[in-house]
Amino acid sequence: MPFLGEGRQAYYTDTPHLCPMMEDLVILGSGPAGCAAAIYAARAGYRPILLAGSLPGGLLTQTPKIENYPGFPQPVSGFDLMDAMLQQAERLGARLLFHTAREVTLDTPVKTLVLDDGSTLQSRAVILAIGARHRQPENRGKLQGKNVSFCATCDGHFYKGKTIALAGNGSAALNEALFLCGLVERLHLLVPAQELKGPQILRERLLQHPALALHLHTRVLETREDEAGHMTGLLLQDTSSGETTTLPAQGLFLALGFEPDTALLEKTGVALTPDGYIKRVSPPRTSTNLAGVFAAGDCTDPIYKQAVIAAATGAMAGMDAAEYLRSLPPSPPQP
Amino acid sequence: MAEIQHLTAEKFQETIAQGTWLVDFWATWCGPCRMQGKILKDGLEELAATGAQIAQVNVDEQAGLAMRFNVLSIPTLLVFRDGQKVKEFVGVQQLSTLLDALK
Repeated sequence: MPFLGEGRQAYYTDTPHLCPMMEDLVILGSGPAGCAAAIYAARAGYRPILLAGSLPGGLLTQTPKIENYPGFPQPVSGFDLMDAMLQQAERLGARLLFHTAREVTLDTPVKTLVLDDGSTLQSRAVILAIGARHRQPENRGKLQGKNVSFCATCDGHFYKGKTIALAGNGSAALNEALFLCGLVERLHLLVPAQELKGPQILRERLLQHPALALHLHTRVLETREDEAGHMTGLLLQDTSSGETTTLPAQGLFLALGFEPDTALLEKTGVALTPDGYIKRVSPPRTSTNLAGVFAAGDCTDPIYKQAVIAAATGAMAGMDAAEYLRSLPPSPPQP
Repeated sequence: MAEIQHLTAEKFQETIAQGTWLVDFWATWCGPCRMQGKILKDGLEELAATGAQIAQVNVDEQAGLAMRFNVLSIPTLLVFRDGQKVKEFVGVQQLSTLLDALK
């Protein structure tokens, strides 16, 4: 069982005469929840490992403009906000590793994590801050091609001056729609429901935007491409009448919401809710059904899904994990 | 001439079953471990003069042994007498400490 080698030497400056082989705390996920957990655990005297995961900084790095994170009189980009959080965590002693956990064993006193490069971590405690992923449409097979995207920040600029569509509803979708309106000639907002949902200020700004064309009770059935594979249009359906129409469009963005990214946890024994969120067994505590395993952020939150709430539950998880570690006997149990 | 022996799980128990053994658990990536290795190498004649035998276990290669003896930080040095662990040191130890422990 190989141990992560070289990366460790630099960090244990308070115990220079030895190198620990077992970690106290590994945090999975480097979004606001993971970073806040790392900050709090580090200040409690531990050296948490922060496993960045497949998207370092988390989904927030894809949001171009954040106006509602407290403490920022001017809007801040998701990327800048997460960059600052990661720097803060590292400065306090957290160790950021650009790796993903491939397999985890959590139902033992010593948790084991096998990483993407095959190396193994052992830890007394684990915080799950693995966040959310984009919800896929049911007819994903019919919505294929290079011109279908989930990320407006990433791909919006390819459609400057063009006509595109965004399918979705709710504040995340509205945010993306507003962003795209600033770039494109026309944005068709395709909303399956009877009305637009989301914060009032966003709805107003969108509806007043000259580039926006709103289509309520409309869903996308299929994409249409030319011989070269470029999107030419979309087959739409009116959800009340059932009528179909074709809308000329050169790109489609899907903003159907997020769902917890808990595939890693199958067979680990961590209890999930029926919707697939990680269950916190006695909220407001962040503990799960497994001893030494705590959860925070979007992977536990079906209701709010906000960065500041993720940071808050992350801080709670950091404090809960620190309390748990202090309660362990000095000689840790055998794996 | 004394030598530092390198032990593996395979014959560990029978090897240390007799006499006094100082076993140093280490890894290549651990700076303090390499310092400990140097201390052992430089002080080998004196250590051997106590009658003890000196050995090292590489924890990356012998993870099972490391787990068996609950080695959680390295270097960890264990003193065995006739197969029983009698002393444990965690972190770099100076030669004088080790010589005292082996008397």
